[in-house]
Amino acid sequence: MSIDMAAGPVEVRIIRRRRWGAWLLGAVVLLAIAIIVVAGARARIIDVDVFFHYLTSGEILLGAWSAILVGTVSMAVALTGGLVAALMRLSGNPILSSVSATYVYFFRGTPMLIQILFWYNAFPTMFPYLHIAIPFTDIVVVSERMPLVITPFVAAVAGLGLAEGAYMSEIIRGGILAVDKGQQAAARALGMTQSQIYGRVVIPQAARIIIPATGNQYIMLLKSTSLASVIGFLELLRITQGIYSANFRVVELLAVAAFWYLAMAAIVTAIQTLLEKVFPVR
Amino acid sequence: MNASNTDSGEEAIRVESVQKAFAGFRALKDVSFNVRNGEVIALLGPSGSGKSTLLRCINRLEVIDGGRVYVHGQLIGYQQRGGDLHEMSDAAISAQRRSIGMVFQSFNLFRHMTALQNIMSGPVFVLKAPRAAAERRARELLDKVGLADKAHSYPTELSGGQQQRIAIARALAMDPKVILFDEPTSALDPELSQEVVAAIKTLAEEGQTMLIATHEMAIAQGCADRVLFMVGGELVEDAAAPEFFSSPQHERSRQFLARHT
Repeated sequence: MSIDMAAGPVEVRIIRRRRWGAWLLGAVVLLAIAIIVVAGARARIIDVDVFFHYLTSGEILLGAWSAILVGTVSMAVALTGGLVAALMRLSGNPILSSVSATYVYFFRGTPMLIQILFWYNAFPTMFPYLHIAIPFTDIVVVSERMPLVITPFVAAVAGLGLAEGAYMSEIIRGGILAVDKGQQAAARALGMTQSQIYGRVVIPQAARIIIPATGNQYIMLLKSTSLASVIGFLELLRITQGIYSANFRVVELLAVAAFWYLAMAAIVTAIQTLLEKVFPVR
Repeated sequence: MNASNTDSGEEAIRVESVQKAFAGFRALKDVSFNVRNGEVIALLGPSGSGKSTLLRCINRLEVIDGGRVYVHGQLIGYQQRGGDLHEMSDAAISAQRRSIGMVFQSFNLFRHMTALQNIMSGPVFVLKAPRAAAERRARELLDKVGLADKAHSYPTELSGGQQQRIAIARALAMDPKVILFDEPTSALDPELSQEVVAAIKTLAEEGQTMLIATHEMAIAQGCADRVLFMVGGELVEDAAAPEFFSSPQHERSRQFLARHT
């Protein structure tokens, strides 16, 4: 190859090759979508007026609120339980460690649906009375028939929160293990106690690592609140089913339910993105 | 730096017949030596000779299998009652570590904290010092290691040499009686390691007691009063620095010096 250095700067145009294949593929996909949308509109599969009528109806909003409430309270239970289980697992104490491993095995290994049914139906028959008193005193904290304590809300939170806690404990444990061992050595060398090492150095760094996975689990949990419909808890899916079993507007009402689940997912995604920005990876 | 540290003759560290094994591998075999206040000791030896393990046994990051370690006359990790040694509580051992600074090969700055927060972490969390006083002291130390403009930088935004100087400032913030350096320049290229060597030299001139495991001859020849030379978990030579470099006694010392100087 020879380059003519003496010729001086010459305007050289760069002609990109056309991606005909990519354009063609894109066009085919757009056409397919258009055909489906047109067919759907012609068949009137969804009545837009009905959709908007139910989208903001009181019952539906109540159901959406219930999903957020149960999902969020369950997530709080899961984060607390998961952190405790993860710390137990990593404690080096063989008893605490195996208790934690057993908890994770059972609660991660059985379907959430079974766990919800267990807390609502089986648990109160196993223990008909809840009686909590402070030993050696006359003070009674609670004394109540169990079915009155285990409301559908409590059973849903217990079932979802404890099952999710098993997943969260593994996520948190992974986050803690991902923090460089040198960080603990440096903290210990400064004279920090074990609780300071975890509270000031390890957990803050592990927290950043587990944010994406936790966002994932939170969204999954919000959608899993629909499982609580089996124990008669009035959440979004059960309310939706109640309405369409009376008026047969199945498509519109399922679309309404889907809309609110998507809205919740959007909020969690926004929170997750914000947290990742506020606490960048360092 | 600290007037009490320069009281020559007073004992800073005493290591007596220390033994340590990892799963059968004898990392330290009966190591004994003393460090006087204000002394700077270079701990030399080939990789795997037990230098790091020895340092980690002094502040009980590793629990020794036999022997005793004293820092400023205080038995580390145990309390002697009658003829028996009773292991201390975790809290008491943590308290002993406050006066023993440590600087690591991989810096180990807390990654979620700025340079300033790293330096303040010991005084604020461990010594419960008032925040304002801790910050004032931390800024002085930043200035001392030449990084006053990096107070709000995170470790990932700093070069290795800068990180190690912050780590030295973090150790100094606790006003330690002794500082243990675990190969402070081994992770740095020659140019950056010069910054760290300069910081260590300044401390040596100020009379800070230091025990420095290193491969960096600039530290060993430039700041050390004494050299301890280790091979295979044993202390084979303990000599004043000029003597060690001019007439090393042990065969392995001679081989080592031939390769490193």
